[in-house]
Amino acid sequence: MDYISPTSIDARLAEEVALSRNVIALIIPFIILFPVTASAQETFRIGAPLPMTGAGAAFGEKFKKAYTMAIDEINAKGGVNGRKLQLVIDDTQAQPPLAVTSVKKLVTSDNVVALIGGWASGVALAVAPLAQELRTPYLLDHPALDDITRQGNDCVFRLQPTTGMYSAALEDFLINVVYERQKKPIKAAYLYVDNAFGQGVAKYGIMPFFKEHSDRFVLGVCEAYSEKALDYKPLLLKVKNASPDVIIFTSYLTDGILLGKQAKEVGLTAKLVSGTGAGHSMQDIYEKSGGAVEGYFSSGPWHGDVTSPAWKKWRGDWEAKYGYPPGEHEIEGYVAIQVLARALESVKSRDVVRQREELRVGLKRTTMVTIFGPVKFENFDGYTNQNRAYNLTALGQWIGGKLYQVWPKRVAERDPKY
Amino acid sequence: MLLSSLVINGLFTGLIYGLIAVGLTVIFGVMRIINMSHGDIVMLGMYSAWILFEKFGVSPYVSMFLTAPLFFLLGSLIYEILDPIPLKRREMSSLIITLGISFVLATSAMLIFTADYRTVTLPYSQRVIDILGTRLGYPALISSAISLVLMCLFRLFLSRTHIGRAIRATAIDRTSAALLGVNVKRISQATFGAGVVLAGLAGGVLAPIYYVYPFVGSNFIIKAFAVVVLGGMESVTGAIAGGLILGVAEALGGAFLEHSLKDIIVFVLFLGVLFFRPTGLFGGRERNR
Repeated sequence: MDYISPTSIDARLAEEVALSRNVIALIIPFIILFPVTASAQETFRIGAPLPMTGAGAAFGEKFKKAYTMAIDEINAKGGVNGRKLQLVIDDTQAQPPLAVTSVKKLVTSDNVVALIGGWASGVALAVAPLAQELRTPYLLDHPALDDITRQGNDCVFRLQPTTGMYSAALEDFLINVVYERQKKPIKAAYLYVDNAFGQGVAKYGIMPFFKEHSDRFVLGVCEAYSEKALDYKPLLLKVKNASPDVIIFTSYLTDGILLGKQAKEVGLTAKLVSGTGAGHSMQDIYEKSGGAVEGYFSSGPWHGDVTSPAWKKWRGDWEAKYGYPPGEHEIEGYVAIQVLARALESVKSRDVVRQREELRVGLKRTTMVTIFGPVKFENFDGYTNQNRAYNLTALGQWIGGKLYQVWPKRVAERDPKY
Repeated sequence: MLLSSLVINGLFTGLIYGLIAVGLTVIFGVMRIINMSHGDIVMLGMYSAWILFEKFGVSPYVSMFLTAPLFFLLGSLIYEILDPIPLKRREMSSLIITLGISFVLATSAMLIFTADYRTVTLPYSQRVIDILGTRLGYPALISSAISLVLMCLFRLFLSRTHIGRAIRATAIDRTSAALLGVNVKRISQATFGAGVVLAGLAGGVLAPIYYVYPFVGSNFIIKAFAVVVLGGMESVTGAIAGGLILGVAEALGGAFLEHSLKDIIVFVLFLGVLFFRPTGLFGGRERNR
């Protein structure tokens, strides 16, 4: 990798002089500004393009809390290499075009050493190639669409399961419990939100699973739905008409709430109803649907190794600080900062461009066990810098207003009600 | 069985679409103002229902009438901003100004209520009733019934009362109405107020069946425009019919086509009506102004 240092720019400038005065006029401001902004990094700034307003704002707030808690803890212990971490959030409203502007600002004006988060897959899909172009390490902690780490970008890292991995725990449960109990082909219905996230789970997770196991499962109604509809009852009536044994939803929060309420209204039931993370793993879905999702399962990134003492301590700290139990988003965000902090230990340079490259190499070398599980960025099966996180998924179930991890058995907090 | 359930369901949803749209219709009909902040006023209606329910336990179906005077006031105030614009330039200028008001309302709600989603869960929200083999939740049923009653009352108000006739006269011809002794400005202001009250009431009926967050208005505005265009720009009956058509078309489309394609139905209907009957299904002939 070639670095552009102030001296090399000076050298280039000498050649440019002979060419054109106009070019000089354009370059001079950069020469003046570059050494000042680039070397004045007394802190490590971490840029987070997050939805702080708009429909995704509730999620942006979760990640803000998670990052803040982790950064406060690290800074209280003196930071990394004597430098404090500083979070710089820029609001994307979860809209890719705004996220692109946000990231350009974070990298070129705020001089962040790394980018983190983004929440929505659609946003991350726009940010990843830009981060690559700007040679700024981008650590994904929640955007899960598989394609994002399948484009060969060496600056893009992901610590959590991809969408295709979300349903791993549910699939395991379907085969080992649901099918084993019934011993005859099982009728399934699948509804997924029509956006990058929903299509990712459908394309890389649920549909390949049903295709592979078509001898045991028959997928009937299988449809994408629009996220902002007022009325899902026509769709739910159609599902009811097919009387499936298993219903799977891939939903965000608001659509998940309405689907839960309206499924109850039209009297849609099945032996097993499961979401695939996202909306169905959020506490809000239970409360705001008036408990309509009682008994629903949700398969997605797990909430960490809930049996470990380190996890239990963290959960206690989180509740003390924020007053509610953490879920998948909170642990992902918290651990992402820890991973960045570990990788930042190998950053010695004062120049931000060099820092970014040192961090990229540091991330590539990072191997650590976190409260979320093991983290190591590998290239495999078409993925680049992806944590092999198949095992970091769990099946939860809403029982009495709380989402309990019920599968796989080794991390189950209680037995599934099935 | 499935078909009848879909149609019944679509009709009930359609009544709510109608109520969302009727305020927009009357404001456009009388004042040629395209009120882009209509959806955000619905949002305010939902928030006020939510607050009164959370803090004082008042059912949205009651509180929506208690807050109606405040919405009338809000409407009158917004009208004061729009009134000085000459009638010729009103359609475009009002569109931009009300779009600005829309942003102000949504971002103010964001500051006050934060971005969290809020829902109103009534004690009977899980109870359902069976109508001709179709299960309907109590809130959906009550919301639809109230919507129908409100629209019928508003229709009667326009046809049977003195003020109602003055509103219609103003809509038909401002100059003649003025010559006949109608105080056009006051009537316009009252109409805007009434339109905003209807939007607030729509928020009240939506609160128990939908969710509210500061930007939820954008979910309604396109549908409301589609209903207005379908039914005719100035007709309350048209808004009811437009709402019902949209509700049923969406229900059938959502079940028999891909659900994600159902918004296409809205726009195809929208364009079809504009093309073949630009004044809407129930609109009068194009008038010279």
